Amino acid sequence: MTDLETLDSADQGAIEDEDLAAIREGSLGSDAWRELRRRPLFWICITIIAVLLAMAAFPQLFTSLDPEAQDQRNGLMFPSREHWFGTDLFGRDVYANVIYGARVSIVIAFVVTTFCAIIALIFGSLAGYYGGWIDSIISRITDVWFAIPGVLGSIVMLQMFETRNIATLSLALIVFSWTTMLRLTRSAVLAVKHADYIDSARALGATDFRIIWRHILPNALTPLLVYMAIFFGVVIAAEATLTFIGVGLQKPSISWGLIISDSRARIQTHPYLLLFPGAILSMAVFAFILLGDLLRDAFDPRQR
Amino acid sequence: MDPLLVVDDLHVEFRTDDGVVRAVNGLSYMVDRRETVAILGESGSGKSVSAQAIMGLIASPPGFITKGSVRFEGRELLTMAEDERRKVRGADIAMVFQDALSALNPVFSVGWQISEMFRKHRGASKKEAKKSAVELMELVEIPDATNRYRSFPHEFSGGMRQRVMIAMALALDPDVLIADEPTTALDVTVQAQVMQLLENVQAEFGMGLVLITHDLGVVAEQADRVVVMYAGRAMEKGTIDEIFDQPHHPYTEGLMNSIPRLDDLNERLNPIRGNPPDLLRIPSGCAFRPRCPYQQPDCAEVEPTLEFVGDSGRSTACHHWRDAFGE
Amino acid sequence: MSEPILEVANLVKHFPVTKGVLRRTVGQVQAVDGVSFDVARGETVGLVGESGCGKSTTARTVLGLEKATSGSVRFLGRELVGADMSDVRAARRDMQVVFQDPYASLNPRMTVNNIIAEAWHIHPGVVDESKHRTKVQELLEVVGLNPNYVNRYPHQFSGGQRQRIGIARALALEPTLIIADEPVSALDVSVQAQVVNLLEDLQNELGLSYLFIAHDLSVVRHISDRVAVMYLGKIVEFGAGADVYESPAHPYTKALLSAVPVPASRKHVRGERIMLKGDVPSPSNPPGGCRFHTRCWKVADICRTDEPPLEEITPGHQVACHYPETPVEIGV
Repeated sequence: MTDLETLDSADQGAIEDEDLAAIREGSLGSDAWRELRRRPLFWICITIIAVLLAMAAFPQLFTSLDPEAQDQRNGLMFPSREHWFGTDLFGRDVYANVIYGARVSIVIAFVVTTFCAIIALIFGSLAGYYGGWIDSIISRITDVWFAIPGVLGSIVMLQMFETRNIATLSLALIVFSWTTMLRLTRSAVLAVKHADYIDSARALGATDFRIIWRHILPNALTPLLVYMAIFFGVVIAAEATLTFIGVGLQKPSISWGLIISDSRARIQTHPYLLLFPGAILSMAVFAFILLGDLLRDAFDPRQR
Repeated sequence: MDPLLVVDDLHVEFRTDDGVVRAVNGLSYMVDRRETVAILGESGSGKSVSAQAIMGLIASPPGFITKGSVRFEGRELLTMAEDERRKVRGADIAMVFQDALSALNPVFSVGWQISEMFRKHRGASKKEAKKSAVELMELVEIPDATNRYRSFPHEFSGGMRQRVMIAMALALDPDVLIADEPTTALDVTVQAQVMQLLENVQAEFGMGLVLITHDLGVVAEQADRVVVMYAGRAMEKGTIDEIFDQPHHPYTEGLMNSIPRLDDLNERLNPIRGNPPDLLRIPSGCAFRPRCPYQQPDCAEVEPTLEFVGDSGRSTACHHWRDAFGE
Repeated sequence: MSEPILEVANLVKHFPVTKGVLRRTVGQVQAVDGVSFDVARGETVGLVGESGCGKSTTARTVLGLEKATSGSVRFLGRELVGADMSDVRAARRDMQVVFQDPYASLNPRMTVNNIIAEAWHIHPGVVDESKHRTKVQELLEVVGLNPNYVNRYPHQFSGGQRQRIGIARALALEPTLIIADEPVSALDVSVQAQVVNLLEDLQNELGLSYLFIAHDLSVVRHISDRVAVMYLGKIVEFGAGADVYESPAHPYTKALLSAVPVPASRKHVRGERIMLKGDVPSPSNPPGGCRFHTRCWKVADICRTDEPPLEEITPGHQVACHYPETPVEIGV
């Protein structure tokens, strides 16, 4: 094919150096990045999330105090220079507890989000791509499951466990929250399934796996990514909620839900016990949900 | 007497995140009653934007009309108050769009949408409005109009929907009808029907018709005069015979040579080199220069203005038309 | 012309119309209903017709993107209808496709290099992996694009340039047949001609065959050796370009050709325009007898009851009409 370069018609599309030089560089992803980069809110979210991740990974960077060290004489102290967030009934530093509690929230949110996404990717793309009876079975099961109230389901399930730890809590959350992601993936796959580039790949003889992996998922992933960011925040809140009402984590774990739960009895006399952990929890949830919104805007400018 | 519609030195730009898109850069033309003027151009030539500017349909921001004037029977439209402008729209100047399916509201019956024109603008009663709407549907040759009155847009074929659009445009008896690619989405046999219909209603109502299209065949068969647009500018203006028999601009000539003809076989096509310009970065001087086979060094420096060719009123915007096409 | 490389016989593709939760079949859209034609090596066969006539479905069924309801597609001597997936996949090396919409036919998240080289990943052994990049650059040059643009993404190109990328992808496996489904309809007039010329040049150099599907009659006439006209799922006329365009025998072909506006001055003599009444009937409930009889000005009783077969009226010129309009008619 090499001696084709003299084709007259090949020359007619030329003069591209001039007009292509002007075209901006980069993929769709980098366009989204360009858009995100100049929004201050995005940087606020990223900073909050980065701090949270750092807390989860290296809590000792943020406090030199041992969250479990008790000091009965100094119980229920109001916030001060030594104890920024005050101390609890047993004299434990609330600030150190909040720092060390981040790990549990992040780990659970990460595990739950990842597992739900994997389930959604596998079954959502199977249902969307193959359609027919595969789709019917997967979609009907999803619909039925979707109808079960998630929080209620998790509570009932958690009450059946003797001991409750990160694993059981994650499991209870995964079991009752994978449905939305699956439906989302399925409809995203359906939307790109009929694109001409999918047919082009089929015409080249590509296998179904290749088509799904190389062509459909990269183009269908955006809504799932956006939802995953939001979902991450929702799981953090859900963990705190379940723990607060007593079906979640148990002591001696350290978690935001437990700290808030402990503060219950003294809210009126010592409101700081609730306020500081509560504020940190809300901020974390807020940062992830807002990040999801920003990602959606950046990837799909039409929605703005 | 003032001409019916005059567009003078119109400039429209869109201020986007990526820069200023100069969509229309000094477009001038006029239309009189019973006359059809075609605005011929490819995608990005600014032909549709100029029509939206005349209708006052440009969302601002990002769109801005930075210069120029649009006069209807001597009245300036661009500086007119919005409520006055609204009265002009529909009653004096009406528009037909390419995509009738999205231009019609899917949740109302077509009859209701046509009769609404009479109720809203003419204050007609429900019964009168319905009667007039059915008459209009008959005028645009929608079969079984009385029964189809209650049908919804999706129940019509593409050609029938375009007839509904035309009926709505005609409802208030406008003096100017702007048709933006009215047949582009239609099959060729249906296109022939719709073009025939437009010709008939124009004769009956005596309107001036502005026909915006990329299709040289439609222009040749339908229009009296043509404005050839490229990169938001008029490249050449003239009558059908002048332009098709002897183009006087390299772009017009290039277009003519690009199309295969049913009556001229197996000749190798002779395309225009390169690609249409990026409106964010229109070349300096003559916008067509990078693709032009006749370009000279001065084409990059000075933007050519329209100059008359002969004394028939035709004009071309090319520095070198004398060398390229002879006098 | 040499031996046929593609033979399509009595190809039928019906889409079931389903209703309700149980997906009960309540009808059939007869998109393609008994279509037969062939394409010879190095030849271009044009397939024209208006929207809904089944020309794109025919292409998709030949490509195996849709499963044929019945009939036969023989390609390079192999039957593709009902063949094993692996046989079909092998056949696809020699049969490639170029689509209409250059904005939809390239994966927006892949670079030009990955788009074109994908074929060699799917069919390993054609081009050694270490040579992919040079080979992609060669192909880009062949289709008239700057070979330095291998790492760019589709949205950085204009419509015409994207269509060239699509053609380069189709050429990657050095196919025998390219099925082009409205390859220039989405392009501007000035760019359309470039792509038509490119397709012609490639054919001359590489001996490609084309099945060229379009609604633009002038473009099809220009590029095709033989032309088939489709109406409501059937071929109504098939023959050499000159025969079909200069002495159309089917009333529909005649009307279709007369409806094309001629881009020439008023001095140009135009034939009389035959204005067809009404719209194309729905393919889910096509008229009995001759499918065109509801819009035909020559309709007779037999047209409403008996379907006219596609028959040769002069050598190589086939028409499906009880009253074809040709010089033959006078002679009979």
